[in-house]
Amino acid sequence: MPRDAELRALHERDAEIGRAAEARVLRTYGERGGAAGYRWEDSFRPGEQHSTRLDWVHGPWLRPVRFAYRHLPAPLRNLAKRAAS
Amino acid sequence: MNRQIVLATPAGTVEELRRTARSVLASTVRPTHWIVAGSEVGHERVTRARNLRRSAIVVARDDLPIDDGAIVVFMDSGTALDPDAIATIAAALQPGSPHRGAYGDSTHRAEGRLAAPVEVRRPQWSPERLRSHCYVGDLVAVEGRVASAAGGAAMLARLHPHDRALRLAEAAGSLARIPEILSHRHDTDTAPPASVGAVDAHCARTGIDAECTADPAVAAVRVARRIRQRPTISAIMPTRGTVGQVRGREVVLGAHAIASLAAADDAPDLRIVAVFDHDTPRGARDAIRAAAGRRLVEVEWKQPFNFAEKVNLGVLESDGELLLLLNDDTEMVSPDALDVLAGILEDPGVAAAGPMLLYEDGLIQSAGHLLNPIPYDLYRHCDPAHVGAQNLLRVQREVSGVIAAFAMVRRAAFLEAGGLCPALPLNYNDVDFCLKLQHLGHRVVWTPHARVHHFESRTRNPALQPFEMELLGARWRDRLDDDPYFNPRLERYVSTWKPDRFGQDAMSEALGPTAPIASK
Repeated sequence: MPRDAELRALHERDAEIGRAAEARVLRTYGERGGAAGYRWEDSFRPGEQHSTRLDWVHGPWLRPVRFAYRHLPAPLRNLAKRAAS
Repeated sequence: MNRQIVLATPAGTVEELRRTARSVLASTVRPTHWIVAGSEVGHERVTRARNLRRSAIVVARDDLPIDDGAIVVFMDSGTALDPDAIATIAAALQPGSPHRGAYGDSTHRAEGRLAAPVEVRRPQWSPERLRSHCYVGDLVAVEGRVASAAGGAAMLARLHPHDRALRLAEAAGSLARIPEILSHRHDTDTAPPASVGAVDAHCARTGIDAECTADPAVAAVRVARRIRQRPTISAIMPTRGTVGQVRGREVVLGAHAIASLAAADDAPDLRIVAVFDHDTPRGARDAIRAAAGRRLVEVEWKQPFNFAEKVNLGVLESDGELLLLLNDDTEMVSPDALDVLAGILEDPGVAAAGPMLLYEDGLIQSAGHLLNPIPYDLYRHCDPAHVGAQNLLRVQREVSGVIAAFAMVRRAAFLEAGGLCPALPLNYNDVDFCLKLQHLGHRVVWTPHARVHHFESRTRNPALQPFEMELLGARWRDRLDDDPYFNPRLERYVSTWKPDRFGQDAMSEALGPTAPIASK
């Protein structure tokens, strides 16, 4: 292509900035850098961006816990409340 | 602590001064001096009260000799200092620190008597936003020499908070954000105040040639810079001639995008560089040629699809001083969008500017990028009538990135940053590009004063690839973890500016005062 040399110069400049940025991340995070630990699945997915998974309260796993808590004697329930807050 | 610490407030009502006095006396590090600027006899009921007289705090009505190395904390009367605020500020403004001034987060009284206070979290230094409204709040702390250079503590304390913050920022160069609660305000209005007069005077002092007008709906100022010399603009549009439906009508998207650009009366010198895939249908090419006319420069892309490389090649084939990165699935809504974006680039520190992007149905597609910690489009799928938390959606401001679907970039900055990264052929090349610009010391600005439709991903598959995430994380993990134009105390993994707690209050705070949930 006629613009090959100029494109290559752009790539080199991009790689140079990329190396400097990676070095800074490595200095800050050491080996823990990179994208590990992020939940990427939400990013840029149309229709789901301004909602988040807040609704753990109605999850089925909480039903037995809630049942047990509600049937505790009041003093124990109060103790649990105090410990949780 | 031997350092002189001066609190400067304007005179307020006795009740307001009493509230401030109580917080000053409860502070873990007390100020050495308190200037109650323009205090009258009535206020002496507070300032001469026994507990203040016995506290060793020197209370004055007017200017005191202030050391250059002192800390001067400005705030409104009636605002209460957090007990640890002065200690936190003193730690941030230690001698030898790069910062000469700072501001922090605050709380406001909630509407309900029993409700928890509303937190106002603030972004890092954002000069364009400060011109739009006083996002830093009423509490600003600076070194004594900065206060003296800006006009003196007593004079500054009497000013409107926006005026004061602008003058202090001019004298300090920039202000540091402390992500801690520093003050507690008694009012319930969390929206930042704004003063057109203050911004006008600021522009005159700093040589910004702009027209400043007040937003008719909220407290915000629009600063429209005048374009001194009309630059040449090249629009770079990669396309493969996709045909799609726009409002029920089948069109060649690229031709439709160009027609909306050409309809704008501010684009007489616009050149359009269309980078065609080799398999672009002849009919689509003809439609694009017909829409662009003599402005069109045709470039052939014969390799496998790579959006970033197509843009890079288009830029090399163009000659405009400003580049308009243009997707073929866009449509300009504001007829003056190009002028608005070019006006923003009159600021020599700004390298890229982007408009508010809307879906075809009118909902927001992007109000700038937000790294939280993965990249989001701020306020996506929200109604553009929302003003956002603290009027965020009504003000021109710095962002971590803008979508390259419709973004104006300085040509020199594009080349300096090495263009779009060819290793990101589909997604995140714009996120990476904007972060490269900021790495090089440039700023990226988003504006609500230009609007563009983006019929997103009609022309490509939006699915993310693992290598794209890896590359972005490897280069920019530090920026992803702490977006400077966000706040680390806000909720993660959402595309709104939302407090890190559940409930209706948090949601109404995220969506701002005009959100339906708040107007019930």
